[in-house]
Amino acid sequence: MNCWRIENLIAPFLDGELPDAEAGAMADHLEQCSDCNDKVEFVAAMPDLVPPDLEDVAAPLLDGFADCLKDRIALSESLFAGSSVAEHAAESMAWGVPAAPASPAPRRGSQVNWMTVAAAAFLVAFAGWSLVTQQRIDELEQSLAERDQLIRKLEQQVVAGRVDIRALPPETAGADSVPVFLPSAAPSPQTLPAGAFAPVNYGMASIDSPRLVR
Amino acid sequence: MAQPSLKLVPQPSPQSITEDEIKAIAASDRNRAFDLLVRKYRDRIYYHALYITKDSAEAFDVAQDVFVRAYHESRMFDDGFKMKAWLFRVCTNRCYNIVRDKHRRGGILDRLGKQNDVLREQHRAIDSVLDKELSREMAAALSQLTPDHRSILILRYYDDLSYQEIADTLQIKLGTVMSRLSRAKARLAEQLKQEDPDA
Repeated sequence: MNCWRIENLIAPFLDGELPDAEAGAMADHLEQCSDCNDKVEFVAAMPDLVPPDLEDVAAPLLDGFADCLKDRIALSESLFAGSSVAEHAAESMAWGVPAAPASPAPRRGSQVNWMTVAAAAFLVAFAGWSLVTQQRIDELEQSLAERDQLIRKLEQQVVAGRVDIRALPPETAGADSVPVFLPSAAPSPQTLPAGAFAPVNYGMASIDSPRLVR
Repeated sequence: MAQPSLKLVPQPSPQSITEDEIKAIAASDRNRAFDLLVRKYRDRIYYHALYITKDSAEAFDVAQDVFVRAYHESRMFDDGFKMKAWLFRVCTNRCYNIVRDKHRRGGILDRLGKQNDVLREQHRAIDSVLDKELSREMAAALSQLTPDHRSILILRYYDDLSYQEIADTLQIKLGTVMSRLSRAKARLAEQLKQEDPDA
């Protein structure tokens, strides 16, 4: 056993906390090493650390400890209001009072079950909503693709000069009408005189309908 | 016909009941187990806080806070959970946080002053006795140590925790407890010598 080791074992040596073998080895070292022996004696000569005797004076205060603690727990309950911690605290507020009707353990289990059911219901609802939404998106995409195709066809015919477009008031649009969003300086369809022709307009237009004139 | 004999089963006192017995009770009645836990460690936790803060009002506040936290600690009655070490650890940490936070001191005294005159008088009486009981030299020397050294000395010699309990409380190895305690005692002895060279 070296001096460094001795220095780290002074307290357990003096407290009688060292195993016999180690205490014996330390005692042997102290007989041979005056430096270490002086250090141990210096610490041993220190006055004992004795806790102050406060039992009598502290007794009245500590008698009221439980009541104050109940208030604190009630306060913590309000701080955690709405959480599972608050429910647990509220249930256990009667601690110190004869047995509560239900122990917290099964309650925690029922909370877990409730949360599991809620989570499952949410997942099912979300999956259903996603499915319906996806179907709607597919329908819209298909519809837009068809309309794009019609518009391209219409544009080609207009460019080729084979088709003239007459704007149609919305109420006269047929099932095959498509919206035409081409910018135009022309007046809106509603202001055109009946039977008038416009080169390109915006509003509803039909392809291959009687209103489209070669 | 023989009468059935009534058998009186002695109830364990809160101080003598073991942690394992409290855990066994918690399996069927957590509220009663918590009540026993408070009764068993209430005084020791309060005194531990008092030794560090040297202020009864602060110590009372810390002890209350420790048990509120214990109340919400879900592992408290689990097998293998060291309740005593947990309580002392939380208490020690809270005390040093408060000692560092100088502003809190006035706030607590104000609050207690408004709450309850009787309580305030009790705190004053304890502080008065504490001042008389603590040796001035020893208190001054302790206050010169680092928090690590001061708390390990208090845990060992004031709170009477075993070396293993100190290791569990401070979450350090047993060998570290021995070496830290040895250095703390040596440092304390040096401080006492500095303050009273003739001793």
